[in-house]
Amino acid sequence: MNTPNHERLLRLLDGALAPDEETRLRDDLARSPELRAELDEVKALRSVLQTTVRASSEQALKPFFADRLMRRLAPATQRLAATAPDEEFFGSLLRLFRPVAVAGLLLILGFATYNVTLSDAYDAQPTPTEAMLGLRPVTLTTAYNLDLETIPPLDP
Amino acid sequence: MESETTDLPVLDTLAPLTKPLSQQLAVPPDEDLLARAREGDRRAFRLLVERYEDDVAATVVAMLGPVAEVDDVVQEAFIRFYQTLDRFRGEAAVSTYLKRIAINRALDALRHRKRFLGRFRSRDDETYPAPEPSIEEEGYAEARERARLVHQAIEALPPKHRAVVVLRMIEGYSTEETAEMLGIPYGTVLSRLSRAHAKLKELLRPFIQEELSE
Repeated sequence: MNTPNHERLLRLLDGALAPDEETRLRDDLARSPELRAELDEVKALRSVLQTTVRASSEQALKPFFADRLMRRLAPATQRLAATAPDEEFFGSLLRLFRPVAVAGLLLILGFATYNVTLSDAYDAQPTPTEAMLGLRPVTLTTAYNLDLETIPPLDP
Repeated sequence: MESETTDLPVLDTLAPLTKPLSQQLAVPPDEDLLARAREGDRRAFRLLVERYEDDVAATVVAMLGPVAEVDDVVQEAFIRFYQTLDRFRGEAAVSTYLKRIAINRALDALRHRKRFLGRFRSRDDETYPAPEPSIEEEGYAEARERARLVHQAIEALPPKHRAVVVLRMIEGYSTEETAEMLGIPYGTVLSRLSRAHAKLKELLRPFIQEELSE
């Protein structure tokens, strides 16, 4: 195949020939079965290549590509992000929330430990939930021995 | 090549409530995203990544074949793009610019691969591993084998010829665009393409015949 023909055929397939060039090429194609065969081969080869590459590239990237890339770019983007007001706002919120969350978690753990320690004083063994929440275990004895005198009378 | 846009609308959750919904749902053009990315807006750059990651991956797969290395090379291409954001002034479409970077990164990877393989393997071994026998459907196995042979044929081309084939025949860029993207003369693209075409035609003869008979 000579180069000019090959290029002309590709341009024809791309729809990139000037009108007079296209007319000339179509005349040549009408006259020459070899050129027609060449055009068909170029078209078929391009189709084989494009179809295969398209199919192969469908799962070429591993999951969460953009996430991974942005993480890799984080040091570079953080310098620029200092000028982005919304990023700055969410960043400061996150920075503020983190110590509050840790303090809250420690407080909850402290209360749970305190309650579990106190639960040993009860005459019955409380369930783990009751122990952590500081609830008095309800046994049949305590349910039947309800002391009504301790309940203040209702106002008339 | 015209830049492409994603099909999915992007909802800017931080937009003021007074902004019309139609504007919030609009897909921002590349120019807007580029301008915002240059100012340090990470979400804008991320949108560009999501918009073009598949296109860039396809270019790299065409150059390297469907290998695990593709993910790394595509990442390298986007990192390079990020580093050169200030230099990119929109003289070409974003996709064209990205593909130019991707081709260069892929050529680097091929050079690296050649050096690496040269140390441990002889040239005769530079083929895809034979597919493992499986109980997949016959059609799927055939398609996989066909893909393997087509990529093997592309790999048989010298890297510089391969780059021309990828841009001109697979990506559909014109010869002039291909020459500009690769930084080589127009005539060189024509001669490389001609030689690559002849070789591919020889290697892929059965698939071409199959395609012609359909």
